[in-house]
Parts: sequence; structure tokens; C-alpha cells
Amino acid sequence: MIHERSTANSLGGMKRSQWFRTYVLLVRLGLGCLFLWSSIPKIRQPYDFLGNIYEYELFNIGLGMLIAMGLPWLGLFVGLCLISGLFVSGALLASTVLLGIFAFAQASVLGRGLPIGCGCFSGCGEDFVSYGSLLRVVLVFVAASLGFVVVLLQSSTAAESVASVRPTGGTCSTSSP
Amino acid sequence: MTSQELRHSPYLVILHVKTSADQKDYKHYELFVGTKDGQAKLYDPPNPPGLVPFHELAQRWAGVGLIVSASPVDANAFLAPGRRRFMTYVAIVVAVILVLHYGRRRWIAYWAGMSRRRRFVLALSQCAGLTVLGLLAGFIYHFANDEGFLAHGNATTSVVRAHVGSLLPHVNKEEVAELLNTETVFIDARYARDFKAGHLAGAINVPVNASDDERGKVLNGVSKDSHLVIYCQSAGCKFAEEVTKKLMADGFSDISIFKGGWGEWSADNDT
Repeated sequence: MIHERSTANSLGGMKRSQWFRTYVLLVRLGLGCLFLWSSIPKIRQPYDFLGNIYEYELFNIGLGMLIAMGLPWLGLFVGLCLISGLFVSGALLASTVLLGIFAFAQASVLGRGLPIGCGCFSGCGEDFVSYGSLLRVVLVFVAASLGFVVVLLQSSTAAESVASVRPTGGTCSTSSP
Repeated sequence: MTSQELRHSPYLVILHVKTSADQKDYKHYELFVGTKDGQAKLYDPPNPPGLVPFHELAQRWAGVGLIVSASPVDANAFLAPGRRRFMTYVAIVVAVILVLHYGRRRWIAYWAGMSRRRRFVLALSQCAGLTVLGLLAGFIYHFANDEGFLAHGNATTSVVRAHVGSLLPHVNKEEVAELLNTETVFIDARYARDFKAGHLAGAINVPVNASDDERGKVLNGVSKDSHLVIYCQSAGCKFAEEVTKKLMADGFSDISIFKGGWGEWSADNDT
């Protein structure tokens, strides 16, 4: 009886673990495409992006230039890492931090009443900072941070499931996450 | 389209541009006639065609162009070199990632055996590594690329000038009240009739439409080292920024902007 319950719990844990893996995969691919989509136009039209940064009125001339030079490439690296599955935890953490800062910047702009373009995707200057754009960033931020937490916990969950199933002679096998 | 791609265009292209690089909005069109001596030959009637370096064009062109041709356009012929150059950078990045990808299986096994705390530290170090890589790639790209920020000393000057209102220090109503009885010079950027209707005590009127001569006469006795506070009617009014650009060109450098302007001041003060 105890043996059966233990097996059932383990199978439940594995099912949960599979859900987590599916969630992380979706977040990885979604965020990866998003970062690639937003970073490539900024690399190709850096002067527009520099102007966007200055309009936020949060950075001085030098820091704004540094951000305009590095941020699109960081976005490109993060996007490629998320899609390829390399350095996933680091890339998800970077996504979470970047999106968190972006959400803060948009909230700050809304608080000061600045009528500026959000600079989310170059070439869409009409996309002004609004509560809608802030909500969008916050939702993606929540998805990314949840993804990061799941990645941190995921491997141990899967490992524990395997460890508890193996002694009972269960037939389930897990592949590496 | 980028200016890298444009320089290989065999066609006439109508470009969507800013009237000058220190403007914010794209409100003008110029005709790209071709490339001569490594520079863009542009035609902006009624002016005669002139040569503009591509890095200067990059600062005021939206990246949108309408190709004019009597025969069917072969866009790949001129888009390919620029795209190839850009894709080279991307290919280097992808190659590095693919090389690292080979170690993925070992990496996953290592990851699974780690404690959560160590995983978090590792994630932090990966995040820091990606940030450093991003900055490094940005530096290299902007240094090696002719249209990059670091390729020419004054590459970003026009963008800074265009956003001077966002970059200069701002003062609020309380700070204005403190500065009123000091050496600070207040400049009212509104039209003369608005200035006459009411203004900050001791303010000088430099209307946005004043000519260089008129501006010179009004500011004749003001030292270039003076602290200037420039204001307009309200936060939505851009005259203060326009006048600031002119005053900076005149040699004034210690400038602040009172964004709330006369509207915010007069709401609570009888001046």
C-alpha cells in the first residue's frame, strides 16, 4: 500500500515536472523570439534607439550611449541563448532583470506624464508608453521570472522523482531537462 | 534598409529624413541619386545635389526608402552586401553559441547535481557574462562600423542636440522660487504677446521665433557663464527646448529648464 502510494506520488511529481518543462520551453521560445525581434532593428538603426533612450530622461549622455550600444547586443545574445537552450538560467535571469528595469522605466514615464514612444520595437514610433504597454511588459516580466524560478527548481524535482521511482522498480524514465 | 545597404543602390531612392539631424521627427523627403567618393549624393530641391557622408545620413534617415525605377527592381543586388555584413556579425555570435552548445549534455548533468544556492550563483555569473559579452559586441560593432557611434567623434552630437530638452537638468517650481532673487537669468521662450501678458519677475524674453540678431541684442549683457533657466508656457510646449538649442550654439552651457513653465508658476503665484 505504502509502496503504491509512493509510486503514485512520484508519478504525480513527474507529471508536474513535465508541465514545468513545457512551461519553460514555451517561455524560452517566446522570450527568445521577442528579444531577437526587438534587438535586430535596434542594431540596424542605433540612432533612433539612442534617441528613444534619451527621451526616457533617466540617463545622462554617456550612460545613454553605453546602453544604446550594449543593450541590443545583449538582447540578441539572450534571445539566441533562450532559443538554443544554452545558459538558460542566466539568460532567463537577464531577461527578468531587463524586463523589470523596462517596466520600472515605463512606470516612471507614466508617473511623470511624458508623451514618448516606448522604443519597444524600433520602427514603431507610434507605440507610445501607456498603461497598456506597461501591462504588456509586466506580464512578460512575470512569465520570465516564473520561468527562472521553475528552472532553478526543475532539475531537483525531476531528480527527486527519479530517485523515488527507481527503488520501487518503476518503469518510468526521465531524460535530462 | 540601412545606409550600408543604400550605398550599394544602383537606383534612385526617395528617403524619409529629418530636415536636420538635430530634429526629432522625420518630416522631410530627399532623393538619393547615388554614391560618389564614398558619400551619398542627395538632391533636395530647390538646392542643387550635394554630397553627404553616410554616417551623417544615418543620423537623420528613418531607414525607409522608396525606390524609383523604370525597370523591375532587383533589391537583392544592393541589399545583399549590407545584409551580408550584418549577418557576419550574427554568424559569429551563433558560431560561439554552437561551440558552447557541444558541452550541453555535460552541463545539464553538472546542473542537476548542484544545490539551488549554487545554481543561483551560477545563473548570476552567466547573466553577468552575457552582459559583458553584449557590451563588448556593441563596442566592437560601433567601432568597426562606419555608421557606428564610435567611428566618428561627433557621431551622436546631433542626437544629443535633438534631445537636449530631455538631457538638461530640470528645475521645479520650488527651485525657481529660490533662484528668483539670485544671479540666475530667467529666459522666457514664448511669443512677445504672451510675455507681455505675464512672466516671471526679471525674466528676459527670447521668443522662439527671434532672429539671431534679435537674440544677440537681448542677451548682450548676459555673461556666457551665467546660469540660465529657460521656460515656456507648459510641459507640452517645446519652445524652451528650441531656444535652448540656439543658446547652446551661442556659447551658453549652464542651462536648466523649468518644464512647468508660466502655466504652473502662475497657477499659484501672482507675479
